[in-house]
Amino acid sequence: MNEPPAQISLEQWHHRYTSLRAAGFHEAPYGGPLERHFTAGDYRLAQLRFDNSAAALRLWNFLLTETERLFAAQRAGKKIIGTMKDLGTVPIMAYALPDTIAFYPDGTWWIPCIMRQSTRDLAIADSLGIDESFCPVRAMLGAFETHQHFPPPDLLICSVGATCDDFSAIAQRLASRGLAILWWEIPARRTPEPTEEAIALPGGFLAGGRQVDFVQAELQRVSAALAKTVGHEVTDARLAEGITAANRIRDMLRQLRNLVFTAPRCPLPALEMLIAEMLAIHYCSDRQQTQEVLGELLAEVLRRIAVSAGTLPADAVRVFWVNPVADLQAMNLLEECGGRLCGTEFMFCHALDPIPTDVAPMEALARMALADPMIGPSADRAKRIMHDVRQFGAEAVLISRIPGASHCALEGSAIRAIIQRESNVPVVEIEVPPLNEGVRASLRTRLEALVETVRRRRTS
Amino acid sequence: MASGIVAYSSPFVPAEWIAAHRLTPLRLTPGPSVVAAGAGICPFAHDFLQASQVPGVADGVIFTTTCDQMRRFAEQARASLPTFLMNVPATWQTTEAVGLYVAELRRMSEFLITLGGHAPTAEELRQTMEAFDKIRRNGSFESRAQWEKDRGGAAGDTLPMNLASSEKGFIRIALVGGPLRKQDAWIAEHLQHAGATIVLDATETGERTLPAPFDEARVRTDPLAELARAYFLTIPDAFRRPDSLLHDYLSREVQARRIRGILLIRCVWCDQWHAQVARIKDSLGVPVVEIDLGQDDHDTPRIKTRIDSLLDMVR
Amino acid sequence: MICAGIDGGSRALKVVIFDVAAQKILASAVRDQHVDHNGLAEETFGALLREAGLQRSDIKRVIATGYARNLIKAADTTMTEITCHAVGVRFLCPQAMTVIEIGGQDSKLLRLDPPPASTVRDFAMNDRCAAGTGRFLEVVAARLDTTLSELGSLAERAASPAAISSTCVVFAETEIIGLLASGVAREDIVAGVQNAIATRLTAMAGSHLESPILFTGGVALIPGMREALERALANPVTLSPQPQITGALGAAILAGRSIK
Repeated sequence: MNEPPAQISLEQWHHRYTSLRAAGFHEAPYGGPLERHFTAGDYRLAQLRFDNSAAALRLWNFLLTETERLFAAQRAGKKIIGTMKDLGTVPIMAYALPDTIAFYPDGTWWIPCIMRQSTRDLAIADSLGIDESFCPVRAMLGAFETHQHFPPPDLLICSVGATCDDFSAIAQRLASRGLAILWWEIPARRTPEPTEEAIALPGGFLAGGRQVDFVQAELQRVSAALAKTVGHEVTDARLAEGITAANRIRDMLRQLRNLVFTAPRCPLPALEMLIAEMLAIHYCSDRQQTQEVLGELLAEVLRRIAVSAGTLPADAVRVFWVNPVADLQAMNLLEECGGRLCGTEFMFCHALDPIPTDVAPMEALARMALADPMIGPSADRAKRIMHDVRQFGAEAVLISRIPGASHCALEGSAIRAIIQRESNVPVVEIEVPPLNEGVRASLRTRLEALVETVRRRRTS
Repeated sequence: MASGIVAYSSPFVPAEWIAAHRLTPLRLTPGPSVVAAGAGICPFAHDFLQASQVPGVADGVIFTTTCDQMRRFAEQARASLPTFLMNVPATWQTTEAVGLYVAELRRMSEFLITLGGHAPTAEELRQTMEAFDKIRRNGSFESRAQWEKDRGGAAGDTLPMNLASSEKGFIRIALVGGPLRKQDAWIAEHLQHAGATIVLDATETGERTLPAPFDEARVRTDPLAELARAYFLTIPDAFRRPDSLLHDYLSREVQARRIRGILLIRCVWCDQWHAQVARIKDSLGVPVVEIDLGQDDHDTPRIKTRIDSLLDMVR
Repeated sequence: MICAGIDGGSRALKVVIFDVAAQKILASAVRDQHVDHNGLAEETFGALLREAGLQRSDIKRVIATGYARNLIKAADTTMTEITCHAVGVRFLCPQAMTVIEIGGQDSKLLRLDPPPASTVRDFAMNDRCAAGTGRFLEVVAARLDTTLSELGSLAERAASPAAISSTCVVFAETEIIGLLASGVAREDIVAGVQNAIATRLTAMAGSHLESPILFTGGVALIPGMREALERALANPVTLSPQPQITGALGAAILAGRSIK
């Protein structure tokens, strides 16, 4: 059953699945062959290469069945909370309540590049005046109109303030279509004033005590709205339990990252790492299953490390990746060009840090929310990136720009300048559009050049 | 030295607050910049940063979080000039948001004191507010800019759009959108030349962003709270969540001023205003044409064609 | 030992035959690119060998680079143009710390490790938009009813360069139509376009730019471009001795090193 690690195509997965079945492997209720998602319309899966482990199959099946899970939950009478932009905070509150699940409509930004290859979602966004000059998250507008990807949520929550303008504008356009949105404010993180208490945040940052108090009050508003929707109070005890569960998942992800990014041979490909990390913020609408999926991945990675097995050559160039990509093929491409993932900062690194447990639960969540890389200065992001680059021994930094995202034009160059100033690690910026076929050749050149640059520096 | 001049561009920064600290507020309208903004970078935010950094223009600069890129430019400004980044909440319907705005004004006070400002007493603030309010109530839009100029003897930037009196036979046009730079002033001239009259300037640098008149009683009892109310709770803008103040304002003014066409002006790459275009088109029932400024300042033929097409549509 | 480098650029194909022991260019050629990239490479390489009095068997190793590198069958292996330009520049201008290369489709800015290393510290390249590349000049030449080779002499006669968008070729073309309609001289438009390309490069340069700066690539041959870059970067910019063949030269040098 345990074949040597490899990256295989969708077609190869058909045969692999057959042999796994014959060997009697255990499948989750949402299991099945990977191609079933292709048959259901996720045609672009055929262009990706996947890890060949049963654990990876489970990860993909878990990701690609979220729509079914959301509709099933609604039919079962559970409350569905749509939470936007905050990346990791509100779901902890939602999952703390009985019969409640949360999901991120923002996640539809991958629909055009992986899921149903209907361009209807984007066409609807276009028709609402949200054209391709906006971030790919605009696909969300279409998803809310078609109800094909998720059911209408019972409550829709969005953080605004020190977020990106494009997302805020898209969410407002959504509200203008008649969807009620509970807006909550996340202020720009600042250094504490001399007159106020300095509060330590996850990730090593500091915030002023007044900011923590403010965010806590905002989260109390969210909590009250949740309680009204669900019919249960968000008590400290429930929240503490939710934080414990979240921390368990975060701990698993930290272990996974440490193992994968520091192993001499890469034990898990970049694409699966990206998907796995994303689980930290939304649990793919099932917190319990998230743990099981991550548990299997961890076991597989440990098994591979024990026998020095990996999916890539041992001399693959160790690349630290900044910002998520709208086109998943880019992750495959890095490896095709001779690179491997050795560290990531996908703009939700605060959702990977442990949530403090030595303060009241709501304050802990406020601290965590304030550690969001999006709301702080670029210098803070760069500092954290530099820390992780050193920790994981990355040899190069790749900053991926998201087309249309208001923060990327300024932030990418700011981060690049800081890293260049403080280290000798090559830093390269690339732009990855939602579908990269048209620019694949030039993207490949950039990635190959980065890999060559590192290889030549190794030997010079 | 610029002798106590504090530059800003956001309408959510109360000039009265700076003036009450015995400093000179300068709402800086940037002109052409020597260095061009790159792709994806807001030309207004970029040019504002450049303009504020010119030696002698200002002793300190205030940025706000109303625009993502302004927020990020504040980081760059810090390297060369005392800089304050003010959190202006996007939400506005909660007591928490109002409280944050007031707290930010207090924090700004600490910044202004570091620039040599003097913490105002309630009476000093009241007097300053009343003086500003009097001019706003009695005068035209230009008079406020003139007042700020006279008050400080600073660069004396005037706002670019002068509202024409309603002329017979001219098409009644509203300008709606983001901020304008000095080099964008030709738009008003072109409109006039093409047979239009601007009866509403609802750009960020226009009358839309004037605060509401102060309540006399409240100015006496709690001037800071009244200052916050007038600025934070009454200025309609695209960045606010929800943005209902903006749409209520536009519906009201378009009807009241018998506006026949809207020129929606935004800086290129500005998502906040770009996202408003389709909605404004759908809701206001008058022709709307969008122009994006800042690709280049010699991009006038393209923009003129669009403006002319708006007027043709109305005719 | 003799090696060769073939640079299959988007607009031109460049071939260099290099004597590794003597560290000397034996022959070089530049041809306009063709739809049949490999056919043109074979033909040009063959002609160059004949010109140099060499046989194919005399060439110990061939490295292809550039946009069409993977289509060139004569090559033993491929390298990206980033690596090859760095090596080529280090050979031609040993002290260079920064390289600006403007080709037909891409523009690049390379920061090099200090000499004698020929390694790249990091690099930046243009985005999808062709503003800042030779393609921009082609669009302009077509619009102004002239040729690429005449652009330089036009620019030299500019009295007052026009301001042209540096962010988008499509917008820039619209602007050029507008400028022509307003009676702006062709010379001023060309000079304006050169400034726009240079401005685009400054955005890529970021805040850390070390001198000496060397300018290479096909666009370096157009008079006025170097000066436009100097103005935009506020730094002296040196023209590469053989700007069009730098990438092919680097490929040939790397071919020699790969045998050692």
